[in-house]
Parts: sequence; structure tokens; C-alpha cells
Amino acid sequence: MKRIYALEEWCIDCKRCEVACKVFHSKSKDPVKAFLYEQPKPRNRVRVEGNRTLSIAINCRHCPTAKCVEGCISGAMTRNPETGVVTSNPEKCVGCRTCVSMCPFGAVTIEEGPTHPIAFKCDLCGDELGVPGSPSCVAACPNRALIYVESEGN
Amino acid sequence: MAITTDYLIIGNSAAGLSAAEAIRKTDCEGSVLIVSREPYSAYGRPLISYLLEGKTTLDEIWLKPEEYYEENRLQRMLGPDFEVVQLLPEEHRALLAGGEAVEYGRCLLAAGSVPFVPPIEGLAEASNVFPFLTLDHALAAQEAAREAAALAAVEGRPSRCVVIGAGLIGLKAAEALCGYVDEVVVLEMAPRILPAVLDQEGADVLRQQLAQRGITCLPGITAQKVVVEEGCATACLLTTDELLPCDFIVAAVGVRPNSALAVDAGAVQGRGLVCDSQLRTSLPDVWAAGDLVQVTDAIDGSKRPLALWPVAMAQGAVAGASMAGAAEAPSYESAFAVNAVDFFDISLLTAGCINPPEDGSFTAVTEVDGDSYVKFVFRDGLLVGYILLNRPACGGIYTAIIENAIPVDQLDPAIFSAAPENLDFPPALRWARLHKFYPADRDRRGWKEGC
Repeated sequence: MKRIYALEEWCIDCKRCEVACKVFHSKSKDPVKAFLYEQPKPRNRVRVEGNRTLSIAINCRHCPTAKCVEGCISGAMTRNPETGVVTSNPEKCVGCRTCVSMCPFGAVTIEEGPTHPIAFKCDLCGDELGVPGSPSCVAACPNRALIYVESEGN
Repeated sequence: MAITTDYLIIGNSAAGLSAAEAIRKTDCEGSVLIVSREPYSAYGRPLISYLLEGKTTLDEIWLKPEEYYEENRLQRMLGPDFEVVQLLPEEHRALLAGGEAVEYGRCLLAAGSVPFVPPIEGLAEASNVFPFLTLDHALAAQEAAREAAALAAVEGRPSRCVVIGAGLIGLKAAEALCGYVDEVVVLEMAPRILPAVLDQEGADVLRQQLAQRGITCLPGITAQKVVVEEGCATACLLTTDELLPCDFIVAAVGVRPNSALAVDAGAVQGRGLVCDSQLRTSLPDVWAAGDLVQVTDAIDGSKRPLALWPVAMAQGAVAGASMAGAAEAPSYESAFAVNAVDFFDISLLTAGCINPPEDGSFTAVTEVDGDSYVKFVFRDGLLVGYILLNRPACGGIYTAIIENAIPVDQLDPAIFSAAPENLDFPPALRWARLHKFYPADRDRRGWKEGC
């Protein structure tokens, strides 16, 4: 499958990936509205670890044997067997944080949802669950510190 | 005429379904039959408290869409008639409660846990005492709570539910029922709540936070007797000799492996069914997965069941692959407990060894900061356990550090003082972790050879 890889050599901690992700996952698709006004708040699913001499963008690795899927008590977190994309169904998620306790990369967060807190994670900007789209973070990165390429595994 | 199947799966939850999925990855042809005494399609068993809270619905709790079973040709026989009452491993036969027999090729025992009923006088005879393990239990408790609230309102008094046992199940039941009755009181024989997953200090912090949200926990106190009037529990006589009136009781003292079927058939049992690394029991062509399996604890080497959802899923995958004769069958060696639980807006993640023996081989650091309580337990330069109360961010990174036995001295010491980061790992390990399946024709700058 195609995966996003972050290259810390080029990352300048600008967080444009976070902005692009949040805007893509907003209703308005407008940065000002997405950041200041929309409720519930749109959430970025990529997170830049920085504020030191290094920085790197972290998002879901779409693991072949995904621990978040293995741990999910509600059947919300699934890995599409054809595409390999791991997504969480907001309708089914109860926000128990088992995925948070299982993800080795810190790539899942629990944030306020429409009715209760639920899991948010990278969905590869697909139009529907389990189907990859064109990742906004990769398009927004000014330095090619994020690449979306065919990986060696499924 | 007997029902025949290549694979018989006894139990229709995490372990059974995970095994069925694994069987289908190797064997697309063999017939798979799932039997369970519960009349429902597989649901997220831990969801029952969330259902009562309205965080999920009876439309959403099912683990798989109905078409999944058809697409994967998984036959199901669900309901009391289909409970397996006797296993005859030598004959490869299972007898069902309804009188039918199933002839199978290979069998998986995945029937989970059954509630342990404590020997408290009066408890077993009262009709308004509910366990809290299944959907039916939860719906019955919900109905009792509604009736209690209505009756108490008429009588002009507060309605009260007593939960016996402040483990994960008891406290989740308490949280759920809090929305229905005026008072929820949780009794716990041990000196602290969540005795298996918290230490005393963390339990005290959580107990205060639960009290602010309407749940009264009484650690060190349990019921010595249940007062029963006309078949109904009306009060608990506490070990302090006080009488605590109640409208109904949830009994959540603990669970034990639902392994009687296998034990009666001659299977070797320790604290759970003894299995090899492929999760084969001592019976011929009988595997086991989930709560009823005895697991070797990866941290202290002790052997006991780990009745946890992710463990059941992982074991189901191993057992299913082995049953189907997968070429590269994975093996199951050991595990450690990882628990994630939330109460209202409180979050709690715990893993591994929480209360180390005081033999000098372990060290622990703890920190209280406002509402949060954090503990890390170390041994021989390795992280072996944690408590993260109200500091959940990126907790899985700590789980990975335990699982992969990453020496603590390789990590940035700051990793334990705030949310852990991938940048806290040394460069080579960080690259390896974050760049699995990285394209072979690109260098670490992302460039292709010669470009």
C-alpha cells in the first residue's frame, strides 16, 4: 500500500501539515472557520513533534497487524483488508482509549465528537472509511518532509 | 442426524470471531460453525456500560455487519439450545443443550468468563441481583434501575444501587447506573478500588474524583449479608455492621474462566486452560483462546488468565491460524495486561506491573499533578509498568517500550515527565519504528538513487 513517510532531515516544524489536515477534516474547508468557529472543532490527525533541534510529523503507520484494531472493543477501528487503510468509525466509537493505550506511535487521540469524545486518526484523506484519498499533509509540506509513496509492505 | 462442521467455535465474541477471521485467511473452503448460548450477533462486550450511558446504541454495538458472516461463510447457531453442554474430544463431537450433536474436525474453546458469585448470605436467592458481563445482564440492570428510580420518586426517597466489587466491571456498571438512580454505592473488600490495576495512591485520587461525580466507593468494606424480603434484596449488612438499604444490587466481584466443558472432558487446567504456543489445549484437536486460557505474564512470569479484549483478539488470531494449518503460524508466548478505561471525563490507562513486590529489584516513580496521577515501574533498566490517570496522551508509546523491552537509558529522560514522543527514541530506533516498509529505492532524504 501507499504510505506517508516523514523525513526529519527536511522537517522545519512549520506545522503546515497540521493546518492542512485540520482544514481538510473540517466542514467549511476554510482555515479561519476551521480554527476559530466550527463546533465540534475539526481535529488534525497529524501531529508535529518539535520544539527541539529536531522535528518530525507523526501520523498513523497503517500497521499490517494494527494494535488499535486488535484492541478496539467496539468494532469502530478497522483495517480495510483490500486497501490496508486503518480508520475509526465515529458512529461506533465510544471513546474508551484502548487504541490510545495500544498505538506504539501516539497516532490516535480522543477528542470531543458530536455527542461524546471519540477517536481521531489519519484516514489518508479518503472520502469514505478505509479508502485512501490524496493526503493533504503531504500536499501542504513545503519541504517534501512528508512523502506519500508505495511501500514495501501491505 | 448430527450437524457436521470442519471447524467448531464455541463462543461468539472477540476470541471466537478473531479465530474465524484467521481461519478464513488460510482456509477459504472449510465449514466454520460458531455456537453460543447468547442469542445475539457478536457485540462489543465491554460496550454494555456505554450502551446504558447512551454512548452507543443497540444498532451500533455489533462487531461486524450481518453480511460479514455470509461473505465469509461463517455459520452461526445462537441461543440457549446451542450451548455446548458436553465435549467428547476423542469422538470429535459436541453435544448441544437442545439435544443435537455437532461432529467437528477441529474445535476452539472461546467461551470467555463467567461471573464469580461471592458466598454472601442472601445474594444468590435475591431476584434483583445482577451480574454485569453480558448484554442481557446490562438490560436487566437498566430495567431495575428505571423501576427503582420510579418507585423511589413515588415514595419520596432517593433510589440507591449497591455495586459489590470495585474492579473494572463494577466501576463501569456504577458509572452507567449513575445516570438512572440517585445514589450508587460501590463496596470493595480490598483496601482500595481497582485493586488489580491501581496502587493505593492512585486509587485514592480516583476515588475522590468518582465521589465528585456521584459514585461513593467504600474500599475495605463489603457486604456480610444481603437482607432479602419477598425474594428481593432490600439492604446490605456491611462488614462494619451498618445496614445499607438498596433498591437492587450489581454483583461484580470477579470472573473465572468458563472452562468447565474442557475440564470435564479431561483438559489440563491451572488457573486457566493450559495451552501450548499454538494455543492447543491438552485435548486432541481442541484449541482455546480468550479469557479461559492461562497466559504467562511477560513481566513476572506468573501464569493466570488475562481476561482482556486485546488479549482475546490476539489469541484468536493465533489459534485460528494454527487450526487452519497456516504455513507461517504465529505463536503465542506471553502477554502483559494493558487496560484503558474511562469514567465520565476521567481517563485511566494502566499496563504491566503496577504494584511491584518490595524485594529491591523494582523502582517506581510517581507524580501527582492536579487531577492526574502517574506512576512508572522499572526493573533492570526496563520499564515494566505504568499508571496514567488523566494523562492519556500517547500512552501506547509506553506500552511499546514495555513490549519491546527498550532500555530506558536509550530514551530521552524527559519521556517520563510529559506525554511521550517518538523523538525521545534514539535516531536508529526511531527510524526503524517510523519507517517500516520504507521503499527500498529511496534514501533517508526521500530521494531516489541518481535523482
